[in-house]
Amino acid sequence: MKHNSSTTPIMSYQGPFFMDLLAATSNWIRSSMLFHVRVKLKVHKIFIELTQNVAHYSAERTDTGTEIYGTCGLGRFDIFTDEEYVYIQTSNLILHEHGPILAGYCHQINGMEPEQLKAFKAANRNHREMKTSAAHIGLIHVGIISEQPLDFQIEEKDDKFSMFTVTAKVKTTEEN
Amino acid sequence: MKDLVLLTSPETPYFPEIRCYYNSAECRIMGESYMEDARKFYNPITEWIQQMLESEGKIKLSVRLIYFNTSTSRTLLQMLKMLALYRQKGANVQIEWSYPAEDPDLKNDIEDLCQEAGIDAHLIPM
Repeated sequence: MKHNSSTTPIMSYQGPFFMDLLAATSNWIRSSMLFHVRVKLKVHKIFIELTQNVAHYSAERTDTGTEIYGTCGLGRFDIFTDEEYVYIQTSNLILHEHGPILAGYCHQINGMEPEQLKAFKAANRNHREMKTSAAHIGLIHVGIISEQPLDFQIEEKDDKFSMFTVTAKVKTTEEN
Repeated sequence: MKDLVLLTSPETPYFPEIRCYYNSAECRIMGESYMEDARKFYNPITEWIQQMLESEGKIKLSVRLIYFNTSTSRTLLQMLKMLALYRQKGANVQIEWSYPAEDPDLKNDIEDLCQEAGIDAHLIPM
């Protein structure tokens, strides 16, 4: 899923995913987006999880200039909408070997019912063996919150890196 | 035993405000929690609670977070598991957890955490 002529852009950014930038954007989502409060809260939660995955795990990194935060991942986020959904999309470089792992996570999440996803999230809450596993629980949480399948693409960029793009969507009429 | 107070700042809204008071045996966690390294932030708070339970055998945990990320939820789960163990050993452990009434996803998250930790909390919509 990509922003196209039938969707309306809400916000786009490309560059370092500094915490302060993510915090300011997430506050804007909750306070200023013109959707039902529950839609905004879902978009906010998904935005934080997806963008923090980029900040922590993007293979393309920059120095934050602070001792506390070290380096910060670079990537892109897009928020756009059509009549039915709000879309939250992030893209970042990953090492080739992480592609099949992330694709496996997305397929796994998309193949589960809500109750299975909750149990899966619980089982993974303590799992921190590999670098991408923390991203895993974030993606599981996104699947639970969005209540929709994750859309993803992995595009090879060179002999070492691929671009991982993941899109979550939230119904614009959410009133549950 | 000293009180532990960590104030929040508008520049870093991803850190919650922490108020741990010895006299009232209370630990309050308020605001939002989606910092980079949740374990590092919560370690001193968990240690304070553990010392309180060891020395006084009681604690009241009051959580009022309008949002926490999955990294924080891992750390809160460890804290709740510790509280469950102390309660099993006879400590007086009370948990009050306030959440925004318009956020059923957050309420579900809190219920899941408590269930996973094997401890009950008094949930308060706000």
